Amino acid sequence: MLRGFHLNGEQLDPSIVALRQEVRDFIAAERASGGFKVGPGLWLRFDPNFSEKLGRRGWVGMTFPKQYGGHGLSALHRYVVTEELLASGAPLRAHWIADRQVGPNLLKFGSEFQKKELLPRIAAGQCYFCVGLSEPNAGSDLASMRTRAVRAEKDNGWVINGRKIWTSIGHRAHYMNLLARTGSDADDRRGGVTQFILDMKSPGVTIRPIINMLGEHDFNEVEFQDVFIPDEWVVGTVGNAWNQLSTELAYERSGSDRWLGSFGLMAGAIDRVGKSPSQAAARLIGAKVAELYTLHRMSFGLGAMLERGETPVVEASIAKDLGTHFEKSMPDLIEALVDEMAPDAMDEGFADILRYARRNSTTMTVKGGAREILRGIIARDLGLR
Amino acid sequence: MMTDKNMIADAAEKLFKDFLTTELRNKVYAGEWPATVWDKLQETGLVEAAVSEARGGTGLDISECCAIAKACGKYAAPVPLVEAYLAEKALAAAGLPPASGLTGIALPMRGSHLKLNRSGGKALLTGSLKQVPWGRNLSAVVAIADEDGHPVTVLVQGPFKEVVHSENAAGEPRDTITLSGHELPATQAGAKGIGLKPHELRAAGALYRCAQMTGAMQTALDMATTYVKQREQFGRPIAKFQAVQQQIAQMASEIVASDGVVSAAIEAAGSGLGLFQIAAAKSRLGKAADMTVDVAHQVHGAIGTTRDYPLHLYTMRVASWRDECGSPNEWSEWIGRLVCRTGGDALWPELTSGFTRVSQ
Repeated sequence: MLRGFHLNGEQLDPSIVALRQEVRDFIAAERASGGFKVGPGLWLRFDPNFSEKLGRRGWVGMTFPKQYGGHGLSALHRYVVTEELLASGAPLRAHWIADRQVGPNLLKFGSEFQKKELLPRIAAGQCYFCVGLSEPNAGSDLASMRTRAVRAEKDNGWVINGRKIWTSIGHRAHYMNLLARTGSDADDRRGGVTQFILDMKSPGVTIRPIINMLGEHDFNEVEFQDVFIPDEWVVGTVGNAWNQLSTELAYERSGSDRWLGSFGLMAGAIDRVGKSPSQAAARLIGAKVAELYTLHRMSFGLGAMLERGETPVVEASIAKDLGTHFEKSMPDLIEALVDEMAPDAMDEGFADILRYARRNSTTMTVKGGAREILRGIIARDLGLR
Repeated sequence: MMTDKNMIADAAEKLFKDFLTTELRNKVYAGEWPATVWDKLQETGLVEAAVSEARGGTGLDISECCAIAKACGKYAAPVPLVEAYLAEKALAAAGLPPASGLTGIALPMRGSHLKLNRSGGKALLTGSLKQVPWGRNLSAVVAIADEDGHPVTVLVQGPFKEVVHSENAAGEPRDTITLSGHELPATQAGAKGIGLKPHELRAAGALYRCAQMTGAMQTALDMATTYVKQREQFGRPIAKFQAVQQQIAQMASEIVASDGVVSAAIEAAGSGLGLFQIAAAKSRLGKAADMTVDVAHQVHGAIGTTRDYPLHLYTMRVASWRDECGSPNEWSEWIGRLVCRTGGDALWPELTSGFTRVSQ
């Protein structure tokens, strides 16, 4: 049965409160020195220099144990840092997937070799990952994936053939977190799938760009022709990927990145409306702030659940569904408030962010699990399927 | 702590389960006061639950009282229990002694006005209190009167001569009590300017309404999921249709979100602050209420619209409480004005600290 997102005062922990302030001071200094500028794309911008800078500050791989280059902090410390960075519009794309889900997944299922090899580099903000899940004919129906890994016994490894698609930052990532079929066709659709880490520079990997409707090269199609992966890069147990994936998806779907991507728009709109809004404007703004606060509490609560070692798959689905719809409504809010703003308030910088948000937010309810799939997960939990 | 809270809410739930029979509901429809339930609540100490130990009561904290309020919603209890808690809160804040007998609360609202005039050794009340919950049944009502432009808490003893009956969409009594020079003993009026301000009482009421709503929404969800698994059409349970699944999933998401923001409001109220969190909860629950009422009825079809089928007990309460103690629009406006005053740059730091640093 569904659980709420109850906190037991974790957000008031002095170390959490102090950390928030530390991140804010850092952001203010970065803005002042031009370390990053707020602009279209906000946190989705790929900036290895900034990722490394965060690594040096100790704000990547925060939850990894110290022996793996991490800082042994809680999921809530990480939550607070990422929330602050996201709200500021800092560019986080480069290390994001590695930090958000690959690291925790390796900590749970990875071998000692993998952890030693990868976690310190991830924590340094220097090692970037893409995710190899979707295929041309396996989107929402992920269990129908066909990319196959065949055992190469004498070489102590696996040979991969197949194709992945919608691979964000595939052309810039060092590694792919790859799911491939290792079982026979007789296996259960969800059984016989194995998780691998693939070096994107491996021979036989072809990366083709897919330009998105924002005109950006973010997506890729990645083809594998007899790509060899040594045994030491199998993550967890052969055939167990489906079970391992649910943990990873809880990390992927639970965070504040699902609803903070357009925060700059809201803050900008409030300033442009001014200190004495009309009743209609105040209602619109207030309702959105109430939604935002609710999402903030939900994601924080999810952070607390992750910290307690739970796997809140259903709750993360709820947060992602509500969060991405909130984000999608942000440009609508601005449109509704335009009449309340001074005629010259819509400067080009703000208009750029608005345009970007309009295009990008349309894709947010698709990425990381379409809403029909998320709602299906919730319905299953309620015993309806 | 957690265990105690659950135990108290469990006791309330058990009582409601045992006593809210079909027979009793029918009496309530006929306009009868559910004395058996109220007496039992009194017997088990649930009516005095909010009275502090120093004032001779059980001394439950706000989170425990809200757990009871949620139970009231979950079982659609037709009694002014949270109203008793609100009355005590107002009395305690004004330094007036706890009330005895069936004491309700007049929540500040548009159209309500009450003037206190103290002169020549007499205290006289004149005005009109709108939508007083169970006004017709009360032996006394607590209200915030206006005395020369300052709020003053008063305990008004009945019987009231002028009570006009009305009710909310759920059939809960919401009566107008008119007082014309009602004489008040000196001990039943607080000091001028001491006690809750009208908007503070309104916020306290809003928090209880939110807690009640989460309970009633939960029952509506439980009824909907149970029903769609049983009801067969087109040769299978309607739960098997994706269109039905998706609607109920959305409704469940709204309820989970509601629980999250209401727990934030309860937590904040417990530390004496919490206006922003309460406002956020009352605003956010508007959407949840609409979705819940809509989907719960939609999946039930015609049977859910009958009096004998109990769904309306919950949905109509949700719909009514949504707008009581400040509608979502009203609280949204309050938040909107607050954040515009504070400015865009301050929004994030204030939001994450619950707007504790700005004057509300």
